[in-house]
Amino acid sequence: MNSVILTTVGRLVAALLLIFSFFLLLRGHNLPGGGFAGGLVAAGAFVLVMLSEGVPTARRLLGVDPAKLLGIGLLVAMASGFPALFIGKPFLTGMWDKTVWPVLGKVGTPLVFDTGVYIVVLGVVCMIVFSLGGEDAED
Amino acid sequence: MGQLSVIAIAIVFGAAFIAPWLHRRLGDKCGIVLGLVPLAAAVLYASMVPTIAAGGAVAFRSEWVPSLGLAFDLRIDGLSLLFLLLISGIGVFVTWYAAGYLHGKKDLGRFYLYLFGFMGSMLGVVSSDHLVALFVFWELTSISSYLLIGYYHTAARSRASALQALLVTGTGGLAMLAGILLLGRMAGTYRVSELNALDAAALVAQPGFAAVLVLILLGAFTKSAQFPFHFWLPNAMEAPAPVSSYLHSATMVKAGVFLLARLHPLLSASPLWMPIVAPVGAVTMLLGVAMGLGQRDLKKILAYTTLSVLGTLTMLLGIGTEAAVKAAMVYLLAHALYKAALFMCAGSIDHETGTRDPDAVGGLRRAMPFTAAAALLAGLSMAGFPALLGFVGKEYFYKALIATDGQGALWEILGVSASVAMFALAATAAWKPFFGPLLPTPKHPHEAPWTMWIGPILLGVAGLKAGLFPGISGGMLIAPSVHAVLGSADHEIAYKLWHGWTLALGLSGVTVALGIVLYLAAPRIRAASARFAVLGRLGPERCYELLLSGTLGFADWLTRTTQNGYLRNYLLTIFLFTAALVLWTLPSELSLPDSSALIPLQFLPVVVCLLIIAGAVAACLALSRFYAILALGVVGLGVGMLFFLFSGPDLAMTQILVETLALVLFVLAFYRLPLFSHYSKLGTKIRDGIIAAGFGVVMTLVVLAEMGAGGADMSVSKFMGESSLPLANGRNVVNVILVDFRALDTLGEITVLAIAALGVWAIMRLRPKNTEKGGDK
Amino acid sequence: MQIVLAITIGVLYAAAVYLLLRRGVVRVVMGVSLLSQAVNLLIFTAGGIKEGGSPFVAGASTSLANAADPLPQALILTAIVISFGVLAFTLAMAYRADKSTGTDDVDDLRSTDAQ
Repeated sequence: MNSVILTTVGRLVAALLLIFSFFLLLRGHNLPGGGFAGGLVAAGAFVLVMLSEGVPTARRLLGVDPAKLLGIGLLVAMASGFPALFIGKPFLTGMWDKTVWPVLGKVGTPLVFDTGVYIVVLGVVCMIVFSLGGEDAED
Repeated sequence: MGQLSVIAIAIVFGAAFIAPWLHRRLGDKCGIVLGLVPLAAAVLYASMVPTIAAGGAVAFRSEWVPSLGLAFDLRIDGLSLLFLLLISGIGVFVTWYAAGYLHGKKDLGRFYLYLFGFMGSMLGVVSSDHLVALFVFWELTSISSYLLIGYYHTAARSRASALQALLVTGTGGLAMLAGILLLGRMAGTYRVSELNALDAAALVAQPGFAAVLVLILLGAFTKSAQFPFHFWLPNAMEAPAPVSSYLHSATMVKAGVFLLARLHPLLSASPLWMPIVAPVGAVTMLLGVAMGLGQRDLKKILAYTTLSVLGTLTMLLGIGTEAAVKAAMVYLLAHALYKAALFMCAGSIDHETGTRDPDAVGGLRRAMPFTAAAALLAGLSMAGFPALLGFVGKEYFYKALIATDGQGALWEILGVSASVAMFALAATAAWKPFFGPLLPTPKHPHEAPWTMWIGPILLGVAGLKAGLFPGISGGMLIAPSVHAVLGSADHEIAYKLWHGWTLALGLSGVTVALGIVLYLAAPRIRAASARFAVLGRLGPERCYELLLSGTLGFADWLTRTTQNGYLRNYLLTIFLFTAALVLWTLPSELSLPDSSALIPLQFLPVVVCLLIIAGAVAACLALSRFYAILALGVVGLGVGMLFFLFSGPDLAMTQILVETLALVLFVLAFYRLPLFSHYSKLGTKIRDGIIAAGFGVVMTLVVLAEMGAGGADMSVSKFMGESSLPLANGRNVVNVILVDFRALDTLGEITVLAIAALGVWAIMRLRPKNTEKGGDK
Repeated sequence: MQIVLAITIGVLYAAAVYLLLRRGVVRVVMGVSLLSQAVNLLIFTAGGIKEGGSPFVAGASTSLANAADPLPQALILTAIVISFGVLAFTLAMAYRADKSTGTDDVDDLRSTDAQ
């Protein structure tokens, strides 16, 4: 599938999808979206690249080994649970900063948690799709 | 002093765990070092002797599972102390003996692990004050016994014997657990010291106490190999000699006797105690020596005499008079000392000559002088010669029988017959191999290493010393233990070697005379016994075998029938069973949604539903993968639409994204997966179609019932809706639930996802060794 | 409308069961996929269905008014993503089973452990 149009448009759309995925992640607390949807859209971006330019390119654009994304995402999600422990609340209790930041809005540990979800979902989908669409196609 | 009782157990268990490491470091010498551990324990216990001889007890208490009322209670009184000293003291010699006997074995470290594990458990059994803790230690001894009997695990007989011992004692243990729990409920306490202080007469009068008694007796009888559960003990002689010496004569098999003695003050109040316990003991006592006379194996002979002694002890406790209990305690101490020694000597003979047939060995006294001396001392005690502890035991035994009211003569005849046979067997085991002409043996005999004769010698000397100066052991050990068994201290325990010209002494004389006659006839009995071997096949052991093979056969049949390997059958079972369960309860639950609650039909949702139905049907009927995948896509997008139409925008978005990715997945897999094959016949398809349709109807009814029931309990959802903004700063309640209220669930779910992804990666990337298509089938 | 939905769910279950009972491994995988759709819809309807009442806290109010039940939705949301993982996993298994045994007939896969 070496189509110039697909390649060009594919990259462009992929970039848009990535931006949209961040948008979904950040607004998820108040409007439809969140880590799951955002992660899926972000993964869609890389799947699109994979379909148009093959697995190696998609992998290179992703920049990180999907397996590492799994670990990083899980760690981020878990880390968001620890601040609550310091003030004697149960693990994963939501903690909020009262100031309203530009772009991000209110910041709290649930957002960090959702970011972890986002990263894990991205890693999971990329890992699965890359494996099945794999470099090691035939043995 | 209470802590000492825990420390002693702890160091033994600790030694168990470092034993394999120690063996790697020190090799065969590790046994000698390890022997110091039970020695230390024995010293600790010996330090308690003055306290306990003065009528006190050493107690330790620590909460274990406070919510269940379980405490780790240790309490050492006279009875416990007698056992503790035996276990730790004989443990020293067994450990040293094993170093010589199992010299050079690669897995000696493992052996010591089991042996010390057993030792610690056994110490726990006899010092526990809480019945549940006692049970746990009890089962640990069964398990370690299993491992020790099966030490030569490459031999099938060894494994079968180990399993038999485990099953018999384990089953009894379970019965005992039931008995303990019943008793605890009935009495309101599990602590032995409190139980024995209760008003026994009131307790045994309660309905159901007979069940308690029988269940606990089952545990004690299986452990102490009482008839009809006796068969496992002789079979356990497959174990190495130190194990036979330690577990199957001196300590573990006496756990059953210990339990009888421990609960004697309470249980003996039951009118059933004496009619059950005494006859069972008597039968075992006679059966043991009778079968022992026919054996052609030194270890088996000793095993059967052990059986007989266990029967004697059970019988005495069943009789339960002061004299009988006193006799039981002396007899128990004497037996532990001489039998442990004799087992070690028999093991040495086997080790040095290569045979255990009493008719094939003789005249070894010159080749093995130390072993011969030890065997002689122990054998004299076993035969009941004066000046040895065995003699004192036998005297008290006879005195107890004479003093027993009523059928006195019957008991005396039984007792004397058993002792006569015991005499003959003692001579066979301890005299025959060492005296008379030297017989040729498979190996050239020479003396065993010192580790293998030091124990028997010291045990023999201990028996002699206790016999000559009975006052010391009597006052220090026997009297406190008798007090503990009888539950009161107001008994005067006179304990001496010489009683004057009494009837008991006369009976002893008769015993010796008849014993000599029987010993001379013994070889002929052994020769003739082969003809009666067929009888052995009809005994309780046959029942055990039938039961075992029956259970295995049933399990085999059940597994083959239910686990037949056809995915289809498993699924059918699940679906049909689920449908049946639902149909059973549904009629009472089914109330169709009333028409006012119904949302009127609308164009768009109905079309989407029809699309989903069409897609689902098409997926079933599709003849090629391409159409099937297309149909699945229609279903997935349709479901997404439904989510969207019925107020689930988050769901709709996720569903559509996932469906898109799933389509990609299918397309990627398209090239790799096999084409649709067509295996099923039309008949099967129709059958499956009917089943599937039926299941569909059931599920339709479930959905209707669920909607008609007026919705689920909404209180949780309501709470979450109300607290979403104030507590979690979020307006999207679904998202708030995911990342805040139920974040721990979500954390679990993304972990599952990560594992699934790793699984896919591993399956696709790593391949099994044989990847040839259609390779090794 | 509820009755139409109930029938739709029933048909999805029936189709899933039918496909799961096939011998070809690809159809079994498809059956698993359909089954998860059916279950998701079942849970979705368990909360009661509602039109035009997405579970968002609107404007000045602090609680959900006349909205769909958010709890089943949260459950389904993760279930959807997990069923994607399951689908991928079963597809990979089907591929590997086909590659290493040379058959896609689940009846022939009975004895692979015994090899």
